[in-house]
Amino acid sequence: MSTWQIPSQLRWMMTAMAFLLPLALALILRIILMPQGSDEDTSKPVPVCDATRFDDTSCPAGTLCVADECRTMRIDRGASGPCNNHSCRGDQECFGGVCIASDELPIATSTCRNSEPLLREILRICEQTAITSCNREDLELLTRDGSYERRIYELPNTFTVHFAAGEPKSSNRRLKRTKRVKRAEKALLDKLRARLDPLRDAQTILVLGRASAHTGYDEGNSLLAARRAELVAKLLSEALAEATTERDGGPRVIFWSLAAKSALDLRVLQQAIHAPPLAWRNAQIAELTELFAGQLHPDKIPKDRLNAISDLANQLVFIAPLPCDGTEYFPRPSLPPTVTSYLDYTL
Amino acid sequence: MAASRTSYLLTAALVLTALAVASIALFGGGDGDDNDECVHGECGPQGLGLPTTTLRYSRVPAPDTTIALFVDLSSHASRRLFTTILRAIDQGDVDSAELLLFHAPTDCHDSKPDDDQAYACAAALTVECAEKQRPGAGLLLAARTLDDLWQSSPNPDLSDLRELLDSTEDLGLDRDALDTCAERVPSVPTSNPNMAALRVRVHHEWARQRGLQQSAGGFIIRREGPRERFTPFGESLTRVELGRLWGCTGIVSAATCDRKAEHP
Repeated sequence: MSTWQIPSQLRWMMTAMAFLLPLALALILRIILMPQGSDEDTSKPVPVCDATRFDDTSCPAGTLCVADECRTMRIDRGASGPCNNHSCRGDQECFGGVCIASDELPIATSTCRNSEPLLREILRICEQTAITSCNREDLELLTRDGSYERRIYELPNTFTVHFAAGEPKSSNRRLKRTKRVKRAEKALLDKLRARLDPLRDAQTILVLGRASAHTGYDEGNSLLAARRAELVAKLLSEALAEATTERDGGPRVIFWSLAAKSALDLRVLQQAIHAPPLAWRNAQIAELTELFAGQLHPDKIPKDRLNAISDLANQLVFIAPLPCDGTEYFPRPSLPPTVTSYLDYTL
Repeated sequence: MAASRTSYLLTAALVLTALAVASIALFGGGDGDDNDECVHGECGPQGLGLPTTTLRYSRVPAPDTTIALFVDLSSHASRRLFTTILRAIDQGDVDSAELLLFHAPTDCHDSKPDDDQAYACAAALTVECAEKQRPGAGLLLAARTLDDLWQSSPNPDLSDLRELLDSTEDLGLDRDALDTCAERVPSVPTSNPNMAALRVRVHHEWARQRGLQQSAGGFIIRREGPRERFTPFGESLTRVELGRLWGCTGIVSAATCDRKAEHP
């Protein structure tokens, strides 16, 4: 029986190779299996930092500590920058493309915020950035939609002036009774002066004239409603001018009319308006006063009387102060509506 | 024969030793270390060791990302950051995420706290008490407290907080119990400690030890497999930056983060 006779030198060489080969193989495999991005890592080691701390200052300027490595994350503050190419500090908000400290912002009052949907719709139709730049045609267009007319009546501190049928007379007949008209105008002016307080802080006062939907003819009613709105706007402007200094300027009055486009719903009016109406000359306001005070219930009165009161309501001029002009800062709630709904649901 | 057998055994032993050394070289040490230490941006199972909170919002059952936010309820910076993060989560800027809310450091044990401090401490405690009374109400009350800064700005005080609480009947909180909870002094040791106050204190201490010096800040924490990677952020964070930081905190996206920066 012969066995392999391996020379001693060869045996030691094989032993050495058996030891070195796995090591060489492991080294080759380790290099191949190195994580991606190793080119960057080996050529230019990424500086390290402590991502468990807020106050770590290891990273060079222009880099941020991301998962313990200083990364040159480019946050594009150019064209898509959040505030006109700038990133606002934590205590600032972007307002008109400028970063402004939160406590210096012209924050819309809560009354103003409640009116925001109406403000936004007016501005959309006007194609303006401030309500004070809108004109009567825009508002007429807006209020052809009855829901916006209703929102105007719902503005806080809205009140009304009532005109008897056919009043005021057209100007070509006015010459004959100038004194009477003047007396009536003075009387209404005095009444308006007494209602100025809640109007002084308004940016814009909307004056909307109406004429009965059930009587007269369309063209005459349109002219009548326009005369009513114009007269109230003129007297209101006069009263405001007396009450405000030249420097303050005072609110702008915009007037327009809707004539008899549609009859007003007494229930809506009762919910929206509470101040008693003012009367022009011999206007009868007792029933409207009761309606606005909640003493009359449209559902509980006979139909004949309801129609009569409805006619009265459609002879009103509405004076609605807009508390702001839409250029204010409107804070957004911290929680998006979907999150609020979800949290409310899970509560 | 005996000498030959010995040499074969010796050779086999050397091969096995070499294989063992090679396997350690291949798989041992470095990035794959499985211990609990935080090494090169990754942590073991203990993660950051965040304190406990139940003030949480998420729409997914097992989120991959946690945004831990520390807020001072008397500061506009906190309000802004809170809003930014909730909108980012809600609108998918960060994917599969949850918000955990904590209280940023305020000195609640100052013998003569100023109005801001007193308000911030009372607000934090009230939120925790509300959460303890009715789970889920704490986060809603925190949001309303932050929104209320627009009303009481610039210097909210305790009467503002009382007014706010008067208008939160819809949260279904027992107002008397809430007042009692929020008035109890946490530093007085009793057999029945005020857990809400202790929780606020733990949040304050934790953030203080981590060096939070602003009124708001936090961490983005991304979980990929058993490991966590995280990134701190400050009060000026915008939604764009949050989305980017979130992307760069991920293992895969981090490698391309710098390159994207060079070639956006």
